[in-house]
Amino acid sequence: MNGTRGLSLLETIVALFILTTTVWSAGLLYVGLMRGAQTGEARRHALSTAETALQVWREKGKEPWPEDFGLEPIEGVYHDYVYRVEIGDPLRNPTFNASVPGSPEYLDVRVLSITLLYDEENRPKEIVLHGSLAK
Amino acid sequence: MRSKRAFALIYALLASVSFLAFFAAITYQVRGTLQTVRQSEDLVKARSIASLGNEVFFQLLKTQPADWVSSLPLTFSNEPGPDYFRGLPADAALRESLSYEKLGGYFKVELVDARTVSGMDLPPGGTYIISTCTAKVNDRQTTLNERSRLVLKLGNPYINNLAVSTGRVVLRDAAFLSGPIFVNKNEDGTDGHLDFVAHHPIGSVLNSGTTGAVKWTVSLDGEFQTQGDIRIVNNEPDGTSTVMHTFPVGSLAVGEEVTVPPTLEVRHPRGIGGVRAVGPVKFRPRRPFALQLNDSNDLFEQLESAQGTRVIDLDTLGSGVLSNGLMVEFEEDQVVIATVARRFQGRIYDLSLWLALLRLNDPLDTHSSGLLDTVNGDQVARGSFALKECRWDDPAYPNAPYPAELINDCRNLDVTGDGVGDFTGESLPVEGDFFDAYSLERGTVLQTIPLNRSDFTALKFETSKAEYVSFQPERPGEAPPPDLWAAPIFVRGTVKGKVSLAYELKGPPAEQAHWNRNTPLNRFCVLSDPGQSGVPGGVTLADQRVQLDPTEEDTLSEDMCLFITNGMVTGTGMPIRLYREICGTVLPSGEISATDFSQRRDVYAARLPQGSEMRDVVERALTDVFMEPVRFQAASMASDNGSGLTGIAFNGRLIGSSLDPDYPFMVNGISAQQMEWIDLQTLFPGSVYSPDHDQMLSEGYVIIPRLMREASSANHSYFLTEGAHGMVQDGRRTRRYANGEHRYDYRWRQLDADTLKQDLGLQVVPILIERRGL
Repeated sequence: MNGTRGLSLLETIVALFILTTTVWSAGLLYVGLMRGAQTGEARRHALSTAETALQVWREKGKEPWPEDFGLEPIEGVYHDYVYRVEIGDPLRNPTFNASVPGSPEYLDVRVLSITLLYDEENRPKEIVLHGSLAK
Repeated sequence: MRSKRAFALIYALLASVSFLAFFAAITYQVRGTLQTVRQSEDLVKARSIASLGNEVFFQLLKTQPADWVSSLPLTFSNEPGPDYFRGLPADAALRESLSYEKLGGYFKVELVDARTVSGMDLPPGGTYIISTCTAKVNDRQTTLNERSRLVLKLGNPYINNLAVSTGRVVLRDAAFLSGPIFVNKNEDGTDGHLDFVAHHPIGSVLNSGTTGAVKWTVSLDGEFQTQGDIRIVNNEPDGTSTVMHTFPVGSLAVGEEVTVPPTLEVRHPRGIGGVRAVGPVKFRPRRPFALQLNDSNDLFEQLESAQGTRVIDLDTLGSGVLSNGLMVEFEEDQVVIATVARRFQGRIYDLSLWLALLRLNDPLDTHSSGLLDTVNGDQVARGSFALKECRWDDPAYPNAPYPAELINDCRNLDVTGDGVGDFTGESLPVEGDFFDAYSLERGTVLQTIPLNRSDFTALKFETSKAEYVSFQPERPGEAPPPDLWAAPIFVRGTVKGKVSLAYELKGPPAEQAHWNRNTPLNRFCVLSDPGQSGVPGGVTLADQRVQLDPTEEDTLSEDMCLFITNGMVTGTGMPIRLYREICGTVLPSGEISATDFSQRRDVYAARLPQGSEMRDVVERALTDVFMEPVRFQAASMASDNGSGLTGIAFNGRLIGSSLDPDYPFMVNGISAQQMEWIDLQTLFPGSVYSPDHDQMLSEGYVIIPRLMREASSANHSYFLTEGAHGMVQDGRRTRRYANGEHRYDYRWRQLDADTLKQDLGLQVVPILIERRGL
C-alpha cells in the first residue's frame, strides 16, 4: 500500500513550486530574449546610423573647410537621431619647418568624432565613433 | 525512509536545475544580448579607427623624404610596444591625439611592397606600396576583409603623369591625349573637373550676330583620374561656361564618339564638342587621390646631394656667360658646355616691300582681294594695326635701302606663270626699317661631359645673379626688364643617353618667387636651328622609340631627357613676337639673334580659304620665292613656374617637326609677354587666333609674312606643343591644352623610386592611387 498512495501535500507543494519556477524561468527567458533583441536592435540601428553619419562627414571633409571649421561641436539631427560632431584640433605636421616655403604646418587630416544619442528602454544612451577627416 | 530520502533528493535536484535555469535566463538577458551588440559596435569602431590610422599614416608619409622605402616592410602603431609610432616623426601632440584614451582603440599600419602582394593589378615598373591598417577595440580586431588599404605609388607627380593639376584642366580641340592625367581639387577646395571646352576660336570664320558652329574632336586613349567630373563644356561669350555633357564612369567605349549639339545664335562661334575614344579610356571621376610636392628649394637640395650630380655655377664662369648665357650642346654621346658666341648673319628688314607686293597697303582693300573677306569692323581695325606692325616704320629702328636683290626678287615674281615678272612695273618701296641679325653659336668650350644609356647624368646649373632683386616696378605687376634676368641656357642637339638638366636661380626666395610668378627669370632655351658646329637644332633623342602605350613592351629607347628648372623651359629659333618693340630686347645683352633671311629656306604654304584667288596667288608667289613649304607650328615646350614652386619640364622626345634640323630656323629670343594673336588671325584667317592668349598655332600650313613670322610667337607658358611627348606642368593652376598630340611616354612612369631619387635627384613622394576596403 505504501507504494501506491498519492502525493503528499508536501510533495504536491514542491512539485507546484518546481513547475512554477520552471514556467517563470521560461517566461523570464522569453522576455529576456525579446528585450535583449529589442535593445540590441535599437543599438544596432543607432550604430549603423552613426557609421553612416561618419561616412557623410568624411565626404563633407572633402569640401572646403571654413576657417571656423571644428571650433565648436556641431549638433544636428540625422535620420531622427540627435548627433554631435566634433572635429579635433588640426594635427600639427611634426616636420613643419617655417623656413621652408610651402612646408605644411598641419597635416591634411583631422580626427572626426561622431556622438549619436538614442534611447534604450527610455534611458539615454550614446554611441561614439572616431574617424578621419581628410582633405 | 529510503523512499522519502530519494524523493527529497530528486526534487531538490529538480529545484536546483530550475533555479539554475532561472539565473541563466537572467544572465543571458543581461549579458548575452548586449555582448552581441558590443561586438558589432567594437567592430564598427575598429574599422573607423583603422581608416583613421591609415589616413594619418599616409599624411605623415607625405611629409617625409622616401627614405623609409628601403626599410620595408614597415609597421607603425599607436599601441605601446616596438611599433609605437615607429619610423615616422610624431610629436607628443600627435601621439596624444591618436592615443588609446582619445580613440578607444589601437591601430597598426603595415607598409609592404605591392609586388609582394598577390592579386594586385599594377602597371609594369615603378615602385608601388600598400599601406594596410588593422585596428583593435576591446579585443575585437578587424579581420582581413575589414582592413583599410591604400595603394600608393612612389614617384614624382610631375614626371610620372602627363598632367597633374590641383585645379580644373581644360582640353581644347584637336588634341590627341594619352594619360595618365590627374586632376585634383581646385585651390578653393572644390572638385577639379576635366573639361573639354567646346568653344573653338581657332579657324573661326563666323561673324558677329551669325549662327553656326565649328566641330572639333578630342581623341582619347589613356587614363584619367579626377576628383570632379569629366565634362564637355561650352564657353559662353560672357565668360561663363555651360556644361553640355558629363561622362558617366566607363561610358566611353573604344571607337565611340560622343558629340554634343551646338548651341546656335551666338556672337562668337562655338564648337560642337566631340570626344572620341581611340583606345581603352579609363575614366575615373571623383576618385580620391592626393599628392604633395615640396618646393624647388628642396628639390634642388636633393639634386645636389644625388649621386654624381655635376653642379655648374654660372657665376664663376665670367661676365660673358652672365650677360650672354651658356651654350649646352648634345654632340654624339657627350654634352659640350661652352660660352655663347654671336655670329652676324645679316639684316632683317620690315615688310613694307611685301605688303606692297601683296597689295595690302590698305586693309579695307583686302576685301576685294579675298584675303580678309570675313572680317568685320573690329577686325579691320585690328588688321590695320597688324599692317602697321608689318610695315614697322619705327623711329627706334634705323632705316636703310632694301638690298637690290630683294627688290629684284620681288619685281621678278612670276605669279601668272608666263615666265615674266609680274611686278616689274610696280612702284615698290625702296627702303625700310631693319635690325641686325645674329645666330647663336658655340664659343669657348668650358666642359665636356660624357653621357651613357645605363644611368642618368645629372647636370645642375645655378646662378645667383641678383640684379632683379633691386628692381623697383613703376606700376603694379611690372616685371624686371630682360637685362636683369638671369643668364639663359641655350640647348640643342641629339641626346644619346639619359640626361637630366636642371637650372636653379638662387636668390632671396621671396623676391624670386614674386618675379617668377609672372616672368620666369631663368630659362632653358631650346635652339631650333643647327649650330655652326654641326649640332642639329632642337633637342631630340638619338633613339626616338618612346613608349606611347602603356601596354607596349619596355624594350624601347634608352635615351631620355629631363629639364628641371624653377624658371622656364622654352624654345627659341621659331618666330617670336609680333611687336617690333620686343625684337630688340630679348637677350640680356639687349640684342637679338637671327639668321639672315636672305639665306633662309623658310617657305610658307598658304592656308587661306580654299578657292580663294588670293590663296592661289600667294601660294604660287611664295613658293617661287621660298622654294618649298614648311610646317609652321610652335617651337618648343615650356614650363611656367608661376607659383614659385618647382617647374619641371620633361620630355621623352622634346621636339616636334617644327624643330626639324633640315630647316634652319631663325634663332631669336623669347619674350615673356604675350602677343595678340587676334591680329595675326585677322590678317590671315585660318592661321592663328587666341583671345585667351593660351592657344597654340594650328597644325598645318599658314601663311605669315616674313617679319610677322620672325616676330611672332606665343608665350607657351600654359600649354604643350604639338608633337610633344611628355609633360610640362605647374600643378597649381588651371591647365589648358590645345591642338596637337599629347601622348605620355610611359617609360617615365616606370622609373622606380631609387632612380627618381638617387639618379635624378627628384623628390619621391607617395601618390595615393586607390583606396581599398574601408
